[in-house]
Amino acid sequence: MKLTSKRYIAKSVAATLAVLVLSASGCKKFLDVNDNPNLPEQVDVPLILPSAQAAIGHVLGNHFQIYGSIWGQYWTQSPYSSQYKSIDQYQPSSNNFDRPWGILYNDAYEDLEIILGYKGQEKYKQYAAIAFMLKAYDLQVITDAFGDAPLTEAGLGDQNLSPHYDSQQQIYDSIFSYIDQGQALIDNASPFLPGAEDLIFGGDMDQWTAFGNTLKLRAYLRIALKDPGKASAGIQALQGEPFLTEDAKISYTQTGGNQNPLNAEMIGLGGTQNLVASATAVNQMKALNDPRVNVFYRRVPATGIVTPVPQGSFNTTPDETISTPSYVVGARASDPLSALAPVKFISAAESYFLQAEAVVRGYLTGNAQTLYQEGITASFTSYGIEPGTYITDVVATWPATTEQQINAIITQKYFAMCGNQGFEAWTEWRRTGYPDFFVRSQASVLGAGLFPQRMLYPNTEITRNGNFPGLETVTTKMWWDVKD
Amino acid sequence: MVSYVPAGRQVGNDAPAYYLRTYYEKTDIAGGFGNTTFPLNDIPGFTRGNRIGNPDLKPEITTAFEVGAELNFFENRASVDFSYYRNKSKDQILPVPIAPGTGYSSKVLNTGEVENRGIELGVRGTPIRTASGFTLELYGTYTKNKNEVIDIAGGVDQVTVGGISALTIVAAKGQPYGTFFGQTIKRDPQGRVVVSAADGMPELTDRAQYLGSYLPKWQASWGANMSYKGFSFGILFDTKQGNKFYSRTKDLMDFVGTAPETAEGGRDPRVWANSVIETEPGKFTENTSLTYDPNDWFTSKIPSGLHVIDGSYIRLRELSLSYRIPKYLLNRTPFGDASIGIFGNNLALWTAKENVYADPEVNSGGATNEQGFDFTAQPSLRNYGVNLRVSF
Repeated sequence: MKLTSKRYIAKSVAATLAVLVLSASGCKKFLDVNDNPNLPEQVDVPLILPSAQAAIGHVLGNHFQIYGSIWGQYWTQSPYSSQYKSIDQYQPSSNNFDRPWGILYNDAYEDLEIILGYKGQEKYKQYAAIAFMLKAYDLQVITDAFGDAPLTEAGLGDQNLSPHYDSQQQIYDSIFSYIDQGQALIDNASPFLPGAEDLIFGGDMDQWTAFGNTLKLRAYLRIALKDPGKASAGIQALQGEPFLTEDAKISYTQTGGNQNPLNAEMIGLGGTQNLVASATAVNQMKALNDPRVNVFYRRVPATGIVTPVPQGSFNTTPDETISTPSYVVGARASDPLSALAPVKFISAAESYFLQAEAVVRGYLTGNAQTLYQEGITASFTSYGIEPGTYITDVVATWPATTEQQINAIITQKYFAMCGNQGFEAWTEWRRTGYPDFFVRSQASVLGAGLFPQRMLYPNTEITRNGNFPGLETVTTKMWWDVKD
Repeated sequence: MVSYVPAGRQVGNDAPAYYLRTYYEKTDIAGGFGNTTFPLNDIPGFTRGNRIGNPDLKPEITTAFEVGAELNFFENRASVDFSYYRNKSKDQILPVPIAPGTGYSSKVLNTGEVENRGIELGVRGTPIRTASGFTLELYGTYTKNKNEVIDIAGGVDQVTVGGISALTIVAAKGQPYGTFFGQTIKRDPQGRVVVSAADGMPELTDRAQYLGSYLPKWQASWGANMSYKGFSFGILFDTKQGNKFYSRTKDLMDFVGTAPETAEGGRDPRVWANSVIETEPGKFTENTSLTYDPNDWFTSKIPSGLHVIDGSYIRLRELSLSYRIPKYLLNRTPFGDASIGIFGNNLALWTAKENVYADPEVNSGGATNEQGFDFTAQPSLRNYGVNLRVSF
């Protein structure tokens, strides 16, 4: 059909107008690539809390569990592989700490700061209370690992691209302050309690009160040898307050991405079993007939015995089959049950041992021997192990002097933490010098009598922070470490 | 004939998508080999993203100046093309890595000013053209570019534009763009390697050092085209010289012991060649007796700076041979024109002597500011093919 010229013009005008109208309205929004339609700019607080908890849990359960358990002489590098040789050689490099430092600051610290921004709103006060506790916990982990670290200038994003580092002393002062601020907000009768998104206690604020008290106790004892006055005053104020009687932990499942972090790491490494039993811990536990040795480690099936190798002996091929840590602590790569091992932030056993030590040092009143017994019992109960006569035998050897009692408490705490709280166990050894049966790793490159006393600052800080204070060597002690 | 290209044109470049704001992301905590991913136990989780967006971003602007000449001789049988250029690029948009103590790991910035100046030269000639139909054409190009970072915004002298934490790629004032920055081995003022009295292995520099840029000092190409009756033959070489690249392939080969340098001396403990020990501060004594264990050196102490190697190369880029089917054979067919040929791309590569690891042109960073970065990339491929061209 031939179009008349008029019709043709009309049609083309109409078409042009249609195109203009469509482009004017729809195109601008459609072509705007400055707004991301897939990611939110605001997120509700209950979605952020579990992220912060899982972030701390990941570092505690994976990176720091490995370093703590190797330097704490529960585990050692297997002679049949090599992933952690440099840890057993006491020769880590800054590269190794990029990820844990990054997770503790970028993920945990930043998310906690965001939650704390809501502390004025009634709806989120309880979340803010938990965030204060976790901020204190996060900072303690960071400083006990690295020493001085950013605090007052941390987490400010582009307001401060080169945060200065605060001293460990300042960080500890802040830890006490944050716990106080958190406890002030706690109200277990609030209509706005967190639920399952609180991965540790499911919103039970009484437990968080106990957590705060126990964390304070742990922190004051940590500085007790450096500043006994402060520790004494701080702990005496906790007299009569509730402490944890249950583990503060995150539980995991066997779903991919939801497993125990150490197990996830092993699976990611192709299922290689890099970690094996170290003779240091195993032989001491066996000497006391400790039933836990068969739970924290896997007995060699043929002999039914836990067979360890000396710390750092990975260059020597053993004559016999050796034992690995067990699935109970998430450390056996080939056992899928390893995925279910929880990551403990503070354990009930630890809580009792801390109280026992506080009583022995005269900061709290109570019966140290009873608390000592309760600590050992809690460790057995937590893993469902039959103690037999072990507990009564050990408690019966409760020593006479203060120093011996502290040795006993810390050593039993060490056994209780075997492979499940490696970082804390190594940190308490740095503080107290107990247990006193550590040996020099056969692979050590450090001079005689020297052990690693800290983790190294990461490369990401060395190359990117204009106010980086300079690398400390691995043998430089912590500020709170005055023990020889 | 000489021509002149007018100077001073400006070109802008905009920001990649979603750089203006900071977002939240579904939480996925990456531990290195294993992750904790949300939903965890059916519980959803979001976390603050690690890149700080910049709502005040300005577009990148490049101001270019170019002057050139094109000369033809001998009735266009020879030509020379020459140009000199000078470009200044300002306000480059970069997601710049920042210290994690800030709570974030990168921020989008407009960063400063970069200058590129250089010459481009091209020659082309047809030295042989016979009456019987044989032609030989030769051609070549040469480019020499000098790049310098003039200034960086925000009161800093250096900004990271890529790389990994141990070996970053930076834009540093006074250095070419894309300079590698990392720790390397310590040398004494005479250039001898300083080894540690404790383990006989080289000591590492206290701070990271500038180790050369991924930008080449010069590039060139040359080739020939021949034709005779219906046959055509083409060959093309190109080269890049003076550039460096970081090879993670070398890093891993050193680590697992498949690199040739790890097998030197039968892997027995030996003395580091031409090494010294700092017996007193500033005093260096020749080391002839203290040995080190190569296994320990290659598996843990070797710094990333030693994996930045010479990326110069010469490549046989293309070879082709084709035959144009004579028209009279196509008379009965529906085709107007047909030719058949074989070709090969990327046929041969000659790298610098120390580069026994990877093709320096392979880049794991993609089309970004991060170049010269072999992050155990796949080797480049040689292509062969046959082609048939027809027209109707």
